[in-house]
Amino acid sequence: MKACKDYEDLLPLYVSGDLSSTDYNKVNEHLKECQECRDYQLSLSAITAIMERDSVEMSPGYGSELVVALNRRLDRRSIWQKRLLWTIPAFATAMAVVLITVISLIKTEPAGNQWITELNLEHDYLNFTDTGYFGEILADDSDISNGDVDLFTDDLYRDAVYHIVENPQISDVDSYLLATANLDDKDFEKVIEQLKYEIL
Amino acid sequence: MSKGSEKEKENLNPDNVRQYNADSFNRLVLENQEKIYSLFRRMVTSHDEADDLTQETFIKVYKNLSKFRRESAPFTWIYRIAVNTGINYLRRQKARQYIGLDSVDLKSGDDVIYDSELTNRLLQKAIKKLSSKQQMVIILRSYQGLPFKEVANIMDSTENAAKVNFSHALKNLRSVLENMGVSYESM
Repeated sequence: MKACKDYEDLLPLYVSGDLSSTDYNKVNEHLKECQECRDYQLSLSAITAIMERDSVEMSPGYGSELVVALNRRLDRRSIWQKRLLWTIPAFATAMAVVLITVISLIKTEPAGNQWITELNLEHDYLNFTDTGYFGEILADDSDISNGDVDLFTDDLYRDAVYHIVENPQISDVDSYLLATANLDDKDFEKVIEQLKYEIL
Repeated sequence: MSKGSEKEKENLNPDNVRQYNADSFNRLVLENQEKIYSLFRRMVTSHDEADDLTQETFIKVYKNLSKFRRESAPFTWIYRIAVNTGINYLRRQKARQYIGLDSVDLKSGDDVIYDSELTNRLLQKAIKKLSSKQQMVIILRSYQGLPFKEVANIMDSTENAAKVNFSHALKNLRSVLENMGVSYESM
C-alpha cells in the first residue's frame, strides 16, 4: 500500500493534527477521491491511536523511591569528593616531605665526597689510571700523607700523570679512590688538573 | 507562565545555584519524574533500564544546574537532557547488538487477533528499528503528546525540522510494521 507522492509526507502530520489549515483542506479534498491515500491514512491513524492511548504503568511510590535513590547516589558522590579533597593535600604533603628529604640527603653528602663526584665526572680520565703505581707513590712517599708537601712537587704530579696516561691498565674508580685516599682535596685536584692537561 | 514555573526558574537561576539545596532538587525530581520515566519506559523494554536512565538524567541535571540558562523552562531543559541520554543509550544499544524482529514477525495474510499487549510489543519492536532521533520524536509527539514547538525545543531543532523528522519516522514505522506482516485492520 502506497500513498501518492505529493501527499506521502503530509499524511503523517494530517493524522497527528499538525497541518496548517490550507494543507489540511488540501489533503482532505484529496482523500475524498483517492482510495490508496485513504488506506494509507487509516494505517497511520491506527498506529498513532495505539501510541496515544498507551499509558505507562508506574508504581505510586516511584517518585519517592527515585528521590531516595538519587540522594543516596549524590551523598556517595559527595563523600568521595570530600575524600578526594582530603587526599589531595595529604598526597601533596607526602610528596613535599619526600622532596625535602631527597634534597637534604643530596645537600648533606659529606664535603669530602665533592671530589668523588668530580672524580666520577672525570671517569674517562680515570680509565687511564694505574692505581697500583699511584698507590706505590703514596706508599713510598709516606711523608706526603703527613703533610710534607714539599716532596710532592709539580714534577712528581707530572710524572704520576704521565705514568697513568701511558699505562694501558685500567682501574675502577673505587680502587683509584682508595689509592688516592691519603691526598687532601687540594692535592687531589692538582692531579686531576694535570690529568686533564696531559690527556687533552 | 505560571507562578510555579517562575519560582522554579528562579531556583535554577545560576546566580542562586550555591543556595540550591537538596529540597528544591528533590522537588524538581518529583515534579518531572513521571514524564521522564514514561519517556524511557517507552524506549526500553524493562522497568530497571528505564529507572537507570531516569536516575542518570537527574544526576546530570544536578551536576549541570549551574549551566542552566533562563532561555527555556526547567521542564524543557530536563527533557532535553533526558532525550540526549536516551539517544546515547539507543546508539550504544545498537552498537552492541542488532535487535532482530524475527521472533515476533508475522507472515502477511495471517489471521491474527491482536490484543493490546501483543500490539504494543510489536509496536515497540518496530520503533526500535528506527533511528534514535526518529524514535525520540515519535515518543515525544505520539506517546507523550508534546506539541511540536516543545519537541523542537527539546531536540534543539526548528519546529519544521521536527515535523519533517516525525513525518519520516511515522512513515518508516508503518513500513516496518508492514514488513512484519501486521494488519492494521486488526489493530
